[in-house]
Amino acid sequence: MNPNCLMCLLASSSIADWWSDHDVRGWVMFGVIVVFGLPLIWVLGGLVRKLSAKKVSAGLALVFERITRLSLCVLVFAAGLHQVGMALGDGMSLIGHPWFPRTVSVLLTLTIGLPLSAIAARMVRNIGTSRFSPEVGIMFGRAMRWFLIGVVLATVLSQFGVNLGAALGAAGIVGIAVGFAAQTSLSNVISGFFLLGEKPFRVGDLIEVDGVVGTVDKIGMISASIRTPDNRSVRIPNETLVKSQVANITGNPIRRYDLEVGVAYDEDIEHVMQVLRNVADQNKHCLDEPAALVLFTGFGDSSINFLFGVWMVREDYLLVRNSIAAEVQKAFAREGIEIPFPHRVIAGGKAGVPIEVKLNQDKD
Amino acid sequence: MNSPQRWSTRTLNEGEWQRFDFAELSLVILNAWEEWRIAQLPEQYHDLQPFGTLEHLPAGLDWERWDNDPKDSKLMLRPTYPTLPVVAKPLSVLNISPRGVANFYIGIPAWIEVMAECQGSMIALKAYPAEPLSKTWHGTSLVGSVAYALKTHARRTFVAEHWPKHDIVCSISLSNKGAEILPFDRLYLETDHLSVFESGGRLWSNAARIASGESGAQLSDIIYAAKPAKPNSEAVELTPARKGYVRSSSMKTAFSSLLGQFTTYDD
Repeated sequence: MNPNCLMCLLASSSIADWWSDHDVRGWVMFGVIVVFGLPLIWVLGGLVRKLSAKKVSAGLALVFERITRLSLCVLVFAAGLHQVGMALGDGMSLIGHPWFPRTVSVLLTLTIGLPLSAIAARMVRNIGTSRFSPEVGIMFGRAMRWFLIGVVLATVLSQFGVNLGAALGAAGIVGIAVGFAAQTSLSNVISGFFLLGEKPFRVGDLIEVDGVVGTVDKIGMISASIRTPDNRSVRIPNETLVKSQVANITGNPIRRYDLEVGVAYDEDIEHVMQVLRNVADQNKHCLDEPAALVLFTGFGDSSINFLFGVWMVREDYLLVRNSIAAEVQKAFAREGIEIPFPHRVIAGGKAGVPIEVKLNQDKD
Repeated sequence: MNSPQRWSTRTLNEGEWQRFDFAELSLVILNAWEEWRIAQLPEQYHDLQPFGTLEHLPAGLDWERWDNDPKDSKLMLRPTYPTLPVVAKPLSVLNISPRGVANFYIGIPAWIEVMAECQGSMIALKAYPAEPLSKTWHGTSLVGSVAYALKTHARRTFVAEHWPKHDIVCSISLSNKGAEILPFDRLYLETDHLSVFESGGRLWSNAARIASGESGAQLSDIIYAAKPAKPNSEAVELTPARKGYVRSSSMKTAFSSLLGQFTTYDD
């Protein structure tokens, strides 16, 4: 006998034995299904994305691709495991197992439900943003997402036979307890809805709340975050924003900067007012209209006082604030208008009577 | 420099610079070190010669720089409109009688746009105002738009000597079709839709026509012609409209005296 043929016979015999081993056969089938299935899933996912991209946005097409791939992965692995079960024999088919359809159903619910909840939340956010404002859109989107995640989880729990009625009842009792405990948080959430409805400010506005000035970075469910000019982030609870006086500094497109100006009593009031108007005219950031306000405000202790208010678009506020005082000072210097310093008249005894000065004779 | 030369393409070789003057604007443009450089000339250098090479250039100029290729040498200046809309206010209000038609001219100070060859193609580097204009607000304190304020004589006839050469002259025909006197106290011009033309060494805009006050009629529009008014209708277009030519502009934003105070602004 040809020794080579004997080796062949031995080999074929051992492969047959090995193949007849149910355990191994099942796992080999599992491997084959996975090895051939996964590339097929990859191709099918790409195809779904390509076809759906013609009808929907690129982002949505990507989501469809992922849903397809995840769902098919679940099915492929389930099929593979079924083969393992069949190979083990004794009626241990995975498909025949009472938990199999339930498990597949749960996996499919999760793989389809969660991405769909993200899509729905994004759609709600976009609608809210276009119809109302970005803040409303974000909040509605989040609310929708959590609601849908809740629905998905409830569906999953019901697949496992959890009594949702009882669970919701228990949740209601727990909710009341939590509500009492989290009164402040709930107040903030409700205040957040009021803020979104009333829109006293938007993200990017410069606001002042309780003496804190900053740019609104975020309006959240519970609090808003503002960034101060020195780059500190300050978290302000929504309830505080509803209860407090909030000044929106940049809510309107134009602003006025007021400067108090005092001149010496010798100066001609009309001349001073004209000089101030000229300063506003010549500043390239000050608006011609609304016209600059030059208002006599009274006779001060040491000076005749004026309010000088100039208008600018809100973006130019700091430029004007920095430049206008210097320009007033230069104009006054050019026109010979005196900016006085406080005068003090020291009187001894009766008013109007000069202070008596005594000179002591030097002993030398 | 006469007008056609002023707007024509010129060559500035490596290491050369040239000076350009328009009203209050003095620009020095330099081609050196594979860069276009532009500086506004300070007061103390106003006696600087019109062109030269690097060794004649004063030090300490405040340059703005654009990268170019060693082969790039073409340079062109062209007049353009201010970067914001313009609100023209006559120094004295012109009252137009019922059924009357008034023709008048306003001059918008041009901005000078520097175009230069960069990597073989001409691109706009930057525009500078020949005469700085102050800003104004067109609208209410809640809504509106920022614009440049232009005080105008609203002259009834065009006499070349009365107009600075850097002004873009806009002829306006305003007809009052209503039964009451119409005061012309301001005009809002959306300059993005207007072209700059040249005729007889002067800059012209598209002619504008406004009809207003007709009883029962809706608010009319400012109607812009495709060309300047006669006798300059054969003018050559130097600079096309930034956002393309449109025939009309809403009167609601254009002519505030018809509405009193603005309550809306549509853009």
